[in-house]
Amino acid sequence: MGAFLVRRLLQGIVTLLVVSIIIFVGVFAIGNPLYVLVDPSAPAEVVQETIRQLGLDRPLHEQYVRFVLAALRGDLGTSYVHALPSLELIASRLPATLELVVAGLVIAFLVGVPLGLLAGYMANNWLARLISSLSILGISLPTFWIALIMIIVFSLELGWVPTGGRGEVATVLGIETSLLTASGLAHMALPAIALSLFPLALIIRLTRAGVREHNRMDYVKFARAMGISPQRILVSYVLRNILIPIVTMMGLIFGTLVAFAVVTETVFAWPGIGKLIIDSIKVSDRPVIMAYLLFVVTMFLVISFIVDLITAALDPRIRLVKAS
Amino acid sequence: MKEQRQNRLGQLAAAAGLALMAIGTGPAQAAEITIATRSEMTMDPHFFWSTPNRAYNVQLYGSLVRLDERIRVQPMLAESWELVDETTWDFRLDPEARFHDGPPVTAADVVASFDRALNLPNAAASYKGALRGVTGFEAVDQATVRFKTATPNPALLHQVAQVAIVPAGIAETATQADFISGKAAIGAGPYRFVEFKPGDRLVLERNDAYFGDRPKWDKVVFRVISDDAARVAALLGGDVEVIDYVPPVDVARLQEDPDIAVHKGTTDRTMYLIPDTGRSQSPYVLGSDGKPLDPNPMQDFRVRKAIALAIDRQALVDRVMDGAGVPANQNVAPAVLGHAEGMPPLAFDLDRARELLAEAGHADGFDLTIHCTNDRYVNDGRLCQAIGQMLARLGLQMTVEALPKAVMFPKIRDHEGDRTSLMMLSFGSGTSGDAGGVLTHTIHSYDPDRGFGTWNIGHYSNAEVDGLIEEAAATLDAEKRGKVQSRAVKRAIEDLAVIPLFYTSVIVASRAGLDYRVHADQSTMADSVTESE
Repeated sequence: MGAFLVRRLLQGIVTLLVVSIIIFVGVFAIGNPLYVLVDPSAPAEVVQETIRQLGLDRPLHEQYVRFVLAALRGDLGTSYVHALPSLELIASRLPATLELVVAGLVIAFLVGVPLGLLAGYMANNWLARLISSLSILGISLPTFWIALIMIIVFSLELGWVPTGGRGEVATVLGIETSLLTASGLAHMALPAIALSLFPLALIIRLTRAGVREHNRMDYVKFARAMGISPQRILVSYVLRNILIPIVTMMGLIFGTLVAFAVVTETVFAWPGIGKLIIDSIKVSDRPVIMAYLLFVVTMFLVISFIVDLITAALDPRIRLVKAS
Repeated sequence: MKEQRQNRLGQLAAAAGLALMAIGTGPAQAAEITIATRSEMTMDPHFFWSTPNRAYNVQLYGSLVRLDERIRVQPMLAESWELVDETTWDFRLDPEARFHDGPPVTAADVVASFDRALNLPNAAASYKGALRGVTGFEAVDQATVRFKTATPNPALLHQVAQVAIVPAGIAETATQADFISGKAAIGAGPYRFVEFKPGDRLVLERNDAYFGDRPKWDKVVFRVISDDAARVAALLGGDVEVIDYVPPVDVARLQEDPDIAVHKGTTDRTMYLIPDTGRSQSPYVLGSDGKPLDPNPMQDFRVRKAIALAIDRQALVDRVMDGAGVPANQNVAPAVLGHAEGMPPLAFDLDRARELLAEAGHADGFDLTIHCTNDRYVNDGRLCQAIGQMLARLGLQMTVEALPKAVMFPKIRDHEGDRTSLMMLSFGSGTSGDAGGVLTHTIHSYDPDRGFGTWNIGHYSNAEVDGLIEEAAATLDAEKRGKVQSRAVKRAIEDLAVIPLFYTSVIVASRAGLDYRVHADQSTMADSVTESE
């Protein structure tokens, strides 16, 4: 376990370093961000002076070393636009995104696993076929389109829920959440459902495939021969086994959704980090872009680590030393 | 939502012919308004200089003078001002002006605020950029602030209009976080701070002690919805009452909706093309051998004229812009001082254009790349395509290069680099209030040491025009200045230093029953929303 941790940590540091270089070179290649930020009528000498103050006139390697040294002190720069340290900015927007993603994943899991079990267990039933077909739709339709259709139907035509925004939030243990107010839930319903559709479809297909595969395996036949009820076999034996790939998948999807909830957040004007990064890229807010991308990489490293731990807990045959 | 239903009910009642006139005009509204806006506010009023931020600042903090919907200067915290001599201005503070927490606005507060605006560390888009040529400011007495300028500077009033005034104590100690939390968000504007949720909303309430006209709304909510479609959906869904930056493509549909009102006006901006007239070889004007043509055809007036004649401005406005614009015959919008009256419209005449091109020795055309942004101006990418096609019909071999502004602006601002051979740009007059900004930045010869021609991407250079621009920049009398500026504009456009396309439009939409006074600089102001008759 100890060796596993150390190795994972070292791997993570190397990954972060390499990625930071790639990102830095990329962001540097776009060109000087001040020319986009500054009002066109600002005199050139003022812009030049600011460029010098911010160190943007230094050569690439010098700027990078400066960035790394500051980053080691926990300083990833101050947003050019929002006047806040970029890490603080990300941290302040993260709860909104996390809440949305967790809600989306919970919906996907609670709906997807039963539907997948059903579709896999009764493979030739019309209902099962319908579920499978719908899941293909869920994977192939673009999220932003579904989101717009949902807004048109549920907000504009039916008027059930607001078109976007976060609504009222309640504060629990210093964290703001929409889950505890009626207005918050109403605002959250559409974006959470829109976000859940892709993982939902994926989970249905994974579960279905898993059930069909395991139903042919010896342990299921054996259990059946022992006279255990089909429901019990499905839930206690098959489900437990097929959960392993599903959990691995959900870990990755979780990361992807947090990092790239951009589309859903933009369409629903949800004030999370997806909207933050899109707005920051538009105006070349370099410190925020850097901090965000590094944050995403770190998050994926942590998630894959946690997934390994959970997988090991679910399946005692997996030993962590080998898992890396 | 609820208000809208009540309103509909009112209309129904009236339509049914009930003789209750009071219902026909609708029940009394709670004076609260929600405005969905494209641009998020930077709460620290001295950190990020931009037009949207200035609009927020003037509503919450206030400034010495403010700009009205036609970018004219109006008194605000300063009730009057006078020129002591050509480079010295005195501003008299309004004795009634008070900060939200009670104390009167004094000259010391003004000086401290300007100090902060000039010296705030880490400000990437510093207010220093707004105060060019201002060499000093001091408190003469409790109620008088004196500004000194390096040279006679007619733009000073517009410059001081950019800077928000906060109490001296806050200006000296407050951090950025203090403004975001609201602790330091104290000013003297018509609205007071209630709540700020970054990325989501800014909530303001009426400042009952405001010294000027009574603010119109009890409570104002600015919701930040940067996505165009989402902003329109929010209005259609009744979540908000007003939206700014309506995409032109949705205007026709919104106008048909009886629950929606659309408010249009012209801005202080012109879209135009910049030909590279400064170099004898231009990197994106190529001959059939793939090498830059020598001499550069863009330096030939006949080629520029051919390009100007080959562009169907009305078609651009009607088809690409969905009507959001007015064909231009110059680069200074009609509402702006210095606009040259009596200039002929720029015609569309493809035959004459081809003739001119042939006269210039390019009957077979040449390879030309047009550069545009694709995320800076409304429909800029589509405009670029359309112009490319129009010039292809002229007989040029066109390449259309539409790039994000984050890539484009650094490329064109590097005056030593390749820049472009033909590019589309837009420039406004909001920060100078007259043609001075457009002329000094985009038409005057590039002269970095003297701060001229920063956006003169084509390096057009004409000593006569330069002389007029510099003369105007030192003329304090507005009428005289406007005349000199319009002469400079006329001369530059006759030369096709730039090729004007159209004046842009500002479009705001609200629910029916509300009126909106549009601002030429596209500021979004709560008090410009009124209940219609």
